[in-house]
Amino acid sequence: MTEEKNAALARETSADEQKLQKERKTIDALTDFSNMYDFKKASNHEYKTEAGLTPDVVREISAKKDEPQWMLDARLKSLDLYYQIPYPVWGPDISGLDMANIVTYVRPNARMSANWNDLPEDIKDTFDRLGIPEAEKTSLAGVGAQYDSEVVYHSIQDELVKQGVVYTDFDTAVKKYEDIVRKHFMKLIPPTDHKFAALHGAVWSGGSFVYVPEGVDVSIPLQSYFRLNAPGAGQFEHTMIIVEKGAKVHFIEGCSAPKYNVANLHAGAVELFIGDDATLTYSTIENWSKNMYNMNTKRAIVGKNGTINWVTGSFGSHTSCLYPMSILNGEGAHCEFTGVTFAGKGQYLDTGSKVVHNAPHTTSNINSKSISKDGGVCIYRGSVVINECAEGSKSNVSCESLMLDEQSQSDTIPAIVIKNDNVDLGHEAKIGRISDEAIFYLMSRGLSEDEARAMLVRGFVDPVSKALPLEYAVEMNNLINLELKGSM
Amino acid sequence: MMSKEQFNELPRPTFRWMKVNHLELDPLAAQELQPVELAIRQEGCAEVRTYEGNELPDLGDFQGASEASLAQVQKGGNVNCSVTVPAGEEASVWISYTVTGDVPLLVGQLKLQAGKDSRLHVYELFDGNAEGGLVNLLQYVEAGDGAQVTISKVQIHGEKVRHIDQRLTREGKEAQVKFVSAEVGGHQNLVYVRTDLDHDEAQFKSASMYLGSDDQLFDYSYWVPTKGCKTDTDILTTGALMGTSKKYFRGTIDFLRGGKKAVGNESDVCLLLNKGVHSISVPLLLCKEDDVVGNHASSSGQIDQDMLFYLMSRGFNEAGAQLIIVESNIRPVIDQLGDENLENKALQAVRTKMQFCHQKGNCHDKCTQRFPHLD
Repeated sequence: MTEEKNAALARETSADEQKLQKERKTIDALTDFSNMYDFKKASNHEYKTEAGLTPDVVREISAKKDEPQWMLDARLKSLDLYYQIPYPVWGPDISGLDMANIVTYVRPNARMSANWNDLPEDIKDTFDRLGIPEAEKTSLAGVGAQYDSEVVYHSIQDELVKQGVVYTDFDTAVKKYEDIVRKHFMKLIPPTDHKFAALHGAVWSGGSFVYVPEGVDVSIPLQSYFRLNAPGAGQFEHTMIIVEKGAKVHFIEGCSAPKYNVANLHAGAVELFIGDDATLTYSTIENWSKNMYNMNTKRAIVGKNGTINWVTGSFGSHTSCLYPMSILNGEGAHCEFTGVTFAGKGQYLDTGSKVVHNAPHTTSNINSKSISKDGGVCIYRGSVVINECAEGSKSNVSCESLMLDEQSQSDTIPAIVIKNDNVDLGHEAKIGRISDEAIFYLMSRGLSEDEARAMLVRGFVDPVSKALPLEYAVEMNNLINLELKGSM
Repeated sequence: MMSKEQFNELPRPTFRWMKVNHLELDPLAAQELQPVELAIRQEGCAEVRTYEGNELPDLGDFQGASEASLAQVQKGGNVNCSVTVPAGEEASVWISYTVTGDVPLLVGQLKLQAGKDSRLHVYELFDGNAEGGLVNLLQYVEAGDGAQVTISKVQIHGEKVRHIDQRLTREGKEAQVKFVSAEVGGHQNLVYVRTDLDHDEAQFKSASMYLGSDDQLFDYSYWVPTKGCKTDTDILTTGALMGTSKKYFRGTIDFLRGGKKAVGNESDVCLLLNKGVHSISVPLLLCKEDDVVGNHASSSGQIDQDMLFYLMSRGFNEAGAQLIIVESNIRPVIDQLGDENLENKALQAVRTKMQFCHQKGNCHDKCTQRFPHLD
């Protein structure tokens, strides 16, 4: 009898263990984000240009979009500048990027729609896996989704439309809001600015256009998501946001791509026009694949007592050059920059922030954090310029860098130019590693060394997490966990 | 048209539009070097001698303040001097470099070699004025294991002199090199410092003060690659700007791989006393080693108004109160000069300069703007 009882007990125990293991596998599968971004779909495009950059390619893109003549002229002018302007000499090595191999325009096999179900299954599945439709239902007032070179989905809540808010893809805006677009297009980021601005001006495609009328408060964020699926392609979306006097909006930008063995290029442009007393929060969680050259340009001009808040998390790409710039042009304008950069194996992320104080009593607060691991290179490159006319301006810059091992590299390269006596400027930077004492303390409380390190890193980036909406803070923490595991 | 000469190139350049990667100046008209006898005094055990030609060793990848200025001092000059202190010995040397109408150019080398566990203190005074005046000095410091070398410098040239001070330092294990500088005079002042901390527990300290007025220019450039373990770097520049003077600070602490437990701090403090001044600060921390601590701080602003008000409420006029505050800012550097005569010269120059500026009325508008009831 006892033997039978024991055997039954053993069977039960084994069944329990099997059940437990199954549950563990389910939990692991649910919490494994390693494949969340790096999944490929067969390139099912409707049309794409030849690789390389010629006037014919530019004319072809413009013709496919049925653009007005002024836009084609602007594209060709930018192309001329692209040929003339040399690559910057101060930045990272971009010799792995050969423009002759980059396909500048890939039109997906889908027309833009406001219904996810209208999209082809592969594209719909891509955005489902990225969680965009789900986020739209729960926490967003409008969504734009770009697949390769074209926007395939755009929607905005009716309530906002009634208040006069415009949120549409940039191609539509060029035709429907031509006067506004023509007045602002490439004015903040002229193609003369640098080589990749000129490139963008020549081959831009897709992107978002947001217009928030005077006094309107868009309390729920808008989000545009950019997915680059085609190998060896470039994405050149143009984002323009105009926030009129006293208006307020939060715009979130997300981007990802699967990893290929050939170089991909992202050279988008973001032009933000913030009126008097207006506020724009621009949040980015960037997670490009590790074959991506990310040469994005972002710039904001801020009116009297207006505010620009930048919140950025840079995790992906092979090489990044990204320095959101704020031009504080109105008296009392304010800029807040909170950013975190995490460079893992093989990554060279050259990021930072630029601020120009161009009016009295303007203020800026820059808070940058970077983490380098497994030989990753993080560079903070920033600038603060306080001009003669910016009497009574204040600026505070803080850079903190964390090195997680001895193969990595972390540099801070700030430049501060003051042309006015009546200013208050403070700058500080720190470089170091996680203190052994802190790890020891956490381990003495029962955590493993890896858990202790992860907890300290999450604590280090906490100010950035706090600045993001909850869902995106969770995503950022997941990205950090993935980076720490080295599984991205 | 003559092309501009580029000075104090940043070891890691940044955005071109900022125009901070180097400084561009017109080259000075070529003049012939006149012979000059340096005023040198010494105490302790040191071999001090002047020489002609180039006696410097291979400078490696030292780029100097500019290609042309480095080439000029390597050709030889009229103020070449060598100071050698044997191992375990101690010495102090005083050298004066005076620009005059007869000798407007002072170009040369100062070679300092301190043997193992020796102590050397060099006191330098730069003064005098002449149309088209130029001082271009390359100071080469070789500090053996455990040696301590200090260079205290006071520069009070007249307003027509371009002053170029280039320094290359190589330190042995546990060596300590310290630079204390007070720069008050001159028209264009260019300081280029490169210190290689290749060996364990080597220390480099630099404390500099400046006081700018009119269209004076101060350009400080530091580059400290740290390869040895437990090295310690501390760079401080502090000062005040008046008139339309300009100050550049380019400080680079370069933590190289293997330089474990290294500590590096750099700090740039600037008081802005007039509307037309420019303060440019580029403090770089480059880090390829995780087990280090690197900090930099930079601050610029006006004199604290509460402090000014307090002093004025105690009976000082605005000029006096401003002088006290500026002096309190730069005094910690002057006090480290270690020679009463040099300290007095620096302080006297600061006071004279500030008084002169007040006499010219630069500060009066601001005084009445801040405290109209006191006017």
